[in-house]
Amino acid sequence: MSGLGNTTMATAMTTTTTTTTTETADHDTVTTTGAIARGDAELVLLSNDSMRARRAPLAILWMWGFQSLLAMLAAWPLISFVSQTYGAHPRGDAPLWRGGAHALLDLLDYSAPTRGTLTPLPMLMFAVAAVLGLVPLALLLGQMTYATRSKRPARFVQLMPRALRAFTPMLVLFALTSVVELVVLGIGFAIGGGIASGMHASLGEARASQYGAIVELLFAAVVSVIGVWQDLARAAIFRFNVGAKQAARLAWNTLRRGPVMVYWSWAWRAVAMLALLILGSVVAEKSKSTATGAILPLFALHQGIIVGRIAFRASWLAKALRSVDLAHRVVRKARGSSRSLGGGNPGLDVPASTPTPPTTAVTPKPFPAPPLT
Amino acid sequence: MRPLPLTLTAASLALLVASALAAVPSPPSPGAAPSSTAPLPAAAQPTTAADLPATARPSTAPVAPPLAPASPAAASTAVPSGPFPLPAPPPSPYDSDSSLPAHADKVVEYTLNAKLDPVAHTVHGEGTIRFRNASSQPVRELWMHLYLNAFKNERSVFLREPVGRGSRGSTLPTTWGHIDVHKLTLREGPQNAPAELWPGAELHRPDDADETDARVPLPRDVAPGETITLDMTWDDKLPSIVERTGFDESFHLVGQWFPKLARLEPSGKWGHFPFHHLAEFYADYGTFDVTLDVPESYILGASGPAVEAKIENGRRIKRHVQGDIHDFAWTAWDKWQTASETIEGVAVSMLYPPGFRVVALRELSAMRFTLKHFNTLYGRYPYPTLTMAHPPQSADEAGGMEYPTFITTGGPWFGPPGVFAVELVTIHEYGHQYFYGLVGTDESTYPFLDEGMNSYATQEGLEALRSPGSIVDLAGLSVSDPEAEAVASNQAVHNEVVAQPAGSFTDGADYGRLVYARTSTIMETMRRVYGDEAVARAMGRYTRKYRFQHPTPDDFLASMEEALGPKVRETIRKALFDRGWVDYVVTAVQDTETADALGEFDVNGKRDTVTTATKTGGHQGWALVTRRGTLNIPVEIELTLEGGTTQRTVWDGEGDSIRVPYTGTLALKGAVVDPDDKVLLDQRRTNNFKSVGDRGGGAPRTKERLLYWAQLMMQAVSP
Repeated sequence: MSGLGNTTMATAMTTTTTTTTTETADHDTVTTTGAIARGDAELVLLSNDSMRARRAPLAILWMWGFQSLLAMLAAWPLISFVSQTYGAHPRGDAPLWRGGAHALLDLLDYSAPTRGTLTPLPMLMFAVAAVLGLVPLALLLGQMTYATRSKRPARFVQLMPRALRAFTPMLVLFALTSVVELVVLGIGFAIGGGIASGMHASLGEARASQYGAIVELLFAAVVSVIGVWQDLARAAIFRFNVGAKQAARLAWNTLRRGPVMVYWSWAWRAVAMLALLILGSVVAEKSKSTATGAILPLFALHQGIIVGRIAFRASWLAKALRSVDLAHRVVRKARGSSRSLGGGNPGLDVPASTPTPPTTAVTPKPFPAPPLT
Repeated sequence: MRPLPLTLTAASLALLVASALAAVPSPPSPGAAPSSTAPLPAAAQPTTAADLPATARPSTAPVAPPLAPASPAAASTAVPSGPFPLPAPPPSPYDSDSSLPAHADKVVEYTLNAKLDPVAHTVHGEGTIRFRNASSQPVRELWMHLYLNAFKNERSVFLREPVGRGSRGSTLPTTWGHIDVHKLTLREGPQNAPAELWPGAELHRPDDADETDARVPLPRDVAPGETITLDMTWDDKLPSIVERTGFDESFHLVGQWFPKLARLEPSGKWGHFPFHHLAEFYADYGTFDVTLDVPESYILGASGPAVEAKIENGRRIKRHVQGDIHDFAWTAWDKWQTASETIEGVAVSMLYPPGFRVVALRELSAMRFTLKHFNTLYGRYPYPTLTMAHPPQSADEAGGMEYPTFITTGGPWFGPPGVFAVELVTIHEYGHQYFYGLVGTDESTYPFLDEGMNSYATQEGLEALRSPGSIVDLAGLSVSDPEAEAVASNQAVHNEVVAQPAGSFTDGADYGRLVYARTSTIMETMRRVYGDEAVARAMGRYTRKYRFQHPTPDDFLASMEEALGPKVRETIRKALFDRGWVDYVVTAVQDTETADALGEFDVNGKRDTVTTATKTGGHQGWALVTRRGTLNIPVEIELTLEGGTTQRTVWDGEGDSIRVPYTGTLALKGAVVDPDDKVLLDQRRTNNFKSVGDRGGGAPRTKERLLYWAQLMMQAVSP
C-alpha cells in the first residue's frame, strides 16, 4: 500500500486539474466510438502504443530552440571576443584553425586577463539549462502523453499547466538523483582508486589502475541506471499525474520488472546519440575549408545532429512512458486491483499514419493511490 | 632534464583545449594555405608617400620594395615563400662527421664498485679516481660534488631555494638521503706516501650548511699534466624519489651517487657549485668502469655497455665500462620489463614497468627516427649502447632525466594516444646526449646551452617526425610544440635574462619559459626565417666542432656568426642576453579608388580646370607595418585584395616601420604581417593584421563551432 493516502492524492489531483483538460481516469469508461465532442479543446491520454516521439516533432523542435537559445547566450561572450579580434583579419578566423595552433594559443594567452569576464554568462546559462530545462522536457513528455480529442498534438498552451505542475516533482527528483549519482560516483572513484593503489605492489600500476578503472566504470554504469530510473519516474509523473514519491515507486517497479529490456532501450539510444556526436566531429575534422560556403552545410549537419540527439532522447522518453504505463497495468492486473492511477486507461490510440476513431470525453476522477507497495 | 614546467603546461593547455573542442577541424597545411588564384594586377607598382592623400599619409615610414612578382603563377601559389636569403658561408670541416674526434681528452678515470641494499635503500661504494691536471696551473685543492646531500635536510641549497610551488622537485622527500664519505686517500702524497685527505675536507662553507660542494685541500701541488689517484669509500642513503634520484618501493634510480670531481677549467679554476634546484651538472670527460652489485632478482640498467655479468651468492654483479663520458647513473628494480633493438648500430635497451609495453614501443619507435635524424644533424652518436628507462608512474619524478648513454622517460601506461608527450620526453632526453653529453657545456652557469638548445633540437625533431600537431593531434586539434613554446616564452620575455646561471632565476616558471622555451623559440624563429638548411648547418657545425669540448656562450655565438652571419648572431645575442623582443603590428591599411586629378592643368597652351574626379577603375592604397621592440628580424607582409588574391613582400625588419604601397585594379582589403607564423618571437599575433575599415573576414567557423559545442554542452547539462 502506498504511503500516500487516498485522500491526499484525491485532494492533490482535484486542485491541479485544469479546465481545459479532461482526464480519462479509467479505461473502462473510455468510449472509442462516436463523434468528437469537444475537439481540440480537451486533452486525452494516448494509448500505450501511441506514445511515440514521432508524435512530438514540435516539442522536439521547441527543445532544440530552447537549447539553442541558451547555447547562443552561453557562447556569445566568446563569439564576441573572437569576432572583435580575428573578425578583422583579412582571412577571418582561418588562422585560428590552422595546424600548429599558434594563433589559437596566442589568442588564449591574450584572453587571459579578460577570461574572468568571459565565463560567468556561460556558467549561468548552463545552470539555467539544468533547472529550467525541465520545462521543455515536461512539454516533450506531455506531447507524447496527450493528444486532443481530435487526435491532434496537444498545444503547448494546453500542456503548459501540466508542465508547470510537473516541474516541482521533477525538480525534486533531479536534485535527489543528482546527489545520489554524485555520491555513487564518489564512492566508485574512491573504491577504484583504492583498488589501484592497493593492488599496485602486487599487480603493477598499469594492471592495478586498469582494475580500478573497471570498478569505476561499473559505478558509472550504476549511475546510468539511476539516470534511467529518473527518466522512468519523470515519465510516471506525466503518465499518472503523481508526485515525486509515487513516481519514484512506479519507476522502481517498472525497472524491477524488466531491467535488461528497459536499460537496453536506453542504452542503444545513448549509443546512437554518441554515434551522432562522433559523426559531427569526424565531418567537422574533414571539413578543411574556411569558406562560408563550406561552413553552411556543416552548420546544417551539426544542427541536424543536435535535433537528432533530441529525437533519440524523446524516443527513449516515449519508451519510458510506455514502460511505466505497461508495468503499472501489469501490476494492477496481477494483484486484481481495480484501482488505478489517474491515467490508467489504455488511452487514445493514434496510429501515426491511419486515422483513429474519435473518442468522447470522460469525467475527471480523483486519482486513487497506486496499488503498489 | 625534461622541460616539465613548460611542456606539461603547454600539453595540459592543449589537452584542455582538445577536450573542450572535440570537433575542431584540422586546418590546411601551410603549403596549401588558402590563397587566391587571381593574377596580380598588372599595374601593381609601388607608390610613394606623396601619392597618398594627406590625411592618410604616414609620417616617415620607409617604403617597401615592389611586391611579389606580378605573375599569375606567383599569385596562385602565393605562400609560403622561401627563407630569407643569407650569404653562403665558407665551407667548414665541421659540415661532416669526418671532423669528429674519435675520443675525448681523458681527464678523469673512475673505477667504482657499488653494492645496493634495496631494503634499506643504501649503496655502499668504494673505488678510485685517477685525475689529470689538464689545466695550465698547478692544483692545490680539489672540489668534489656530493649532490646526494641535497636531500639531507632543508638547509641544502636545493631544498631551500624558492622555485615556486608545483615545480618539479619542490616536494620534500619523505625519506632523507645523503652521502657519507669515509675515506679519500691521495696515493701520491708527499714523499710518495699515501695522504688521507678527507679529515681536512671542508664539507660546507662557514656561513652555509649546504654540503653538496666540498673543498678538499691537497697536501702538495699537482702540476699541470700530472695525474693523481684517489682511493675512496662512501655510503649512500637514497632519498625517496624527489628529482633525478632515489627510490620508490623496490624501484631505484641511482644518480649523483658517488663523490664526483668538479670540472677543472683550462685556467686552473674549478667549475664547482652547490646543487641548485634548477641547475644540473658539469664535469670533465673520462672513463667510467663501474661494477654494480644488486640482488639476483633485480634487473639493472646503467650507463655504458655491460662487459661482465655474473650471478654470485644470490647477487647479480655487472660491470659497465664506458669512455668519453662525464657522469654515470644506473637503475635497479625487480619489476623491470625489457625490450631491446639495434638502431643505427646502437644497442638500445628499453626498461619499462609491467603493463607499459605500448608506451615502451612508442618510445622505441621515436628513437628509431631520432637516432638517425640527430646523427645527420648533430654528428654520429659515438657510443655502442643507449639505455632508456621508463620509471613507474608512482616515481614519475625519476622520469625525464638524462645521463650519458642512459636516459629516463616517463608518462602514464596508456599514452595517451593523440598526445605526444611520450615522444617529446624521449626525444628531449636523447637530445641531451648531444647538448650536455657530447657538447659538455656548464649546465649550472649557462643552462640555455644545454636545456635551451636541446629544447630546440627536440622541437625540430618532433616537427620532422610529425607536423603540424607535433605535441597534440587529437579530435581535430593539432598543436605543435614550437607554437606552444613560443606562446609560453613570450609571457616571460620581459621578466629575466635568458642567459644567466640556473641558480639566479627568481622563479621556476621563468626558468622553464626562458631557458627552455625562449631559447628554442629563438632558434626556431631563425630556422623558419632563414631556412632549415642554414640553421641545420650552423647547429651541425657547432655540435661537431665542440664534441667532447666545453664550449661557452661566446663559442656558440661565434658558430652562429660563422654560419649565419653577424646580423643573425646579434639577433640571437640580444634575445639571449638583453631580453630582446619584437612585436610586429599592422598599424593601418588604406584603399582608395583611383581617379583623375583635380585642379588646373595647362594642356596645349590652354588651361583646363578639372572639378569633377573621374574614376579610372583602379585602386591604390598602402599598409603601414610597425616594429616594436629591440630585435630586427626579416618578416613577410601579405596584402589581401578583393576576391582573396594575395601579394607578398619581405621587410628586413630594419627601422621602426615600413609602408607597403599598393596600386592595382582590385581593391586592397587588408594586410597581414608574418602570415605563415615564421617569426615565433613576435610578441603578439592579434595585432598582426588589419582590414580596410576593419571589415575583415569575420569569424564564421568559430561562430558555428562555438554554437555547436555550446549546444552539446547544453544537452549534457540539461535534464
